[in-house]
Amino acid sequence: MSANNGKQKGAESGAEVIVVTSGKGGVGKTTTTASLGAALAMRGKRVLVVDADIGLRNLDVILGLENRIVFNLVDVAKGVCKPAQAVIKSKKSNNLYLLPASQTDDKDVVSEDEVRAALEPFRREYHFILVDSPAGIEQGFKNACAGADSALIVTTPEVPAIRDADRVVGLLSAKGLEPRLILNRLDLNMVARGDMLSVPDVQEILGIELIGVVERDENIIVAANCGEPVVYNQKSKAGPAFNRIAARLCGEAVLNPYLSSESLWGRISRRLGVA
Amino acid sequence: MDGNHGDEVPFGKDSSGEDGASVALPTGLSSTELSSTELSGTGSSGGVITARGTGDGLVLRIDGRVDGLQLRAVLREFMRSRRSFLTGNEVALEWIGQQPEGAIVDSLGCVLEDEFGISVSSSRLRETGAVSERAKGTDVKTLADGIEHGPIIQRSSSSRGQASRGDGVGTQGLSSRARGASLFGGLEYLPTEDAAAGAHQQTRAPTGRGFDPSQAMWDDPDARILYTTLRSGQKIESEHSVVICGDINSGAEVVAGGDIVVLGTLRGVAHAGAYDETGGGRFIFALNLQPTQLRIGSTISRGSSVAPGSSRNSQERSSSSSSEPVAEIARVDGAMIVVEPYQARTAMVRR
Repeated sequence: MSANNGKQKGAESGAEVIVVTSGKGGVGKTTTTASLGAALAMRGKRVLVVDADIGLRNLDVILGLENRIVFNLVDVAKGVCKPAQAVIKSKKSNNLYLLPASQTDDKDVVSEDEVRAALEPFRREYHFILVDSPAGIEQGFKNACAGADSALIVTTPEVPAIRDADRVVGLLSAKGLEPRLILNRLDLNMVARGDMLSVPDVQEILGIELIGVVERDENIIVAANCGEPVVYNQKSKAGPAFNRIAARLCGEAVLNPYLSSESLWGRISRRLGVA
Repeated sequence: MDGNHGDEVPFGKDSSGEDGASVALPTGLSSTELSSTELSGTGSSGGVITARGTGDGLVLRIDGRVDGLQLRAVLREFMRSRRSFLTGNEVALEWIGQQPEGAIVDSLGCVLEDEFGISVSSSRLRETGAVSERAKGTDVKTLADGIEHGPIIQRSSSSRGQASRGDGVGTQGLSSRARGASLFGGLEYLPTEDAAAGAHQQTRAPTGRGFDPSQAMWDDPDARILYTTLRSGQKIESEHSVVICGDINSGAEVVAGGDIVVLGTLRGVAHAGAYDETGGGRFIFALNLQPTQLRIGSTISRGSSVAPGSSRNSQERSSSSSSEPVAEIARVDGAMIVVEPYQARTAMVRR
């Protein structure tokens, strides 16, 4: 499969497979997967984003690649095609690739072992493989976690989302995965009014490492509709936030402006000024 | 723990008079004086009206010997200070001494309904001895009964100031914390006579038991310790006492035959004394108690449904979040679960 891709520089030690999951639906898993994939690709990493939401795929739309799909994850898992045949290069980056989900099957059509085996050949060719998990904790979730080395949990600062995230943290911990948290759709004005859980509130409940905070941003919706990840829009609030998370995934120490309550705006503006 | 429940009975019997649950107080305060200290916001409604939660809902206990016009004024003042947690509820009126004539009862009902949005479900003369019956555990609710009509978890507002010092001071500072905590996803605080009485009962308990260290034995040699946080969907069950070095998050559940000690925040459901209808005097302790629900034996109590972040008043919320959580202990008192700040000297003695 990999004669072509194998010549390009890949991760020598094999890709880190990261599952992006949440428990609750609609908190921004797919957007996060696409944005982080694009942000990592901008940093020169070779990235494969995998849509494991079989039957309800969306990652292809957010990346604007829906009209290029021929084969998918199920085809790879069942041996219908070669792994490299199912992979689609993104429009914007030579480093970002998509392995789409099947839209016509359902989640029970593949097993955890089949997904794990399907992802194995890609490990040699990429630095990061981001797996977009479906909502829920059933077979689809288990499949998405099957080959993962680590996990990112996306949650919004809302009680139902946090409770579901908490459930997923428990399930992942049982699998030996120590998840890191992305707090999505934070509204600093609502926090200031006391109408929204703050970053420390969420951290206190979930008690896992916080890898990033993404503010609520209309640009996300615009980006999703035009099939261009928000990270290409450096003027947005969310774009730089995803870039910071990508940097942390690469092991860089990046200041988190949301962890300091004092001089928050000073820090943000200083960062923007530097950038 | 055998026979411990019976220890309550002598306390109940100690006190003569109409309220069987109010024990002989160390300071010599009568129970009426005590409730007036904690309940009167500005002093003048003192003792005439008290509010309490029971298994059947909220009860306003009113001294029926007071003049009707004065009653209306006192009631207004009493309600104004408690509008937040009483509004929208249904209350039963319970008359002490005598039940006034129908017109007065009706006019008070109108005040409650029109000015505070509270409907009156019933009005009756308080029967003497009802409380001592409950103290003996005859009125223990089944779990199914309890969850439908069960009271919001009671916090003994008197215990911090009064149980520790027995001098009736310090109630004002506490009530401000109480309000803050209930807004910040905590529990509703309802000062009640029973709670006050329970607190005093505890101050007496150690001396009453005559504890002899040489007789010390392990009450539960097999207590279970868990070094993890229980997350949503996780449940542990043990016939022994359980110590959790971590949090119990919302959606998680601990069921123990013995006591439950949480060295962290309890946000989920805890059930102590699960295999004993009376609860066997078991307790639930947490460094930060914000439970969804507490159960001890067959007594059940639910936490307030107000969650952090849903507060509409940012000032009150910020004041509550800045206040340090206080370790609290929940136990059965009569037919309800009472929560009070943990006092090392007294709280662990099983009653």
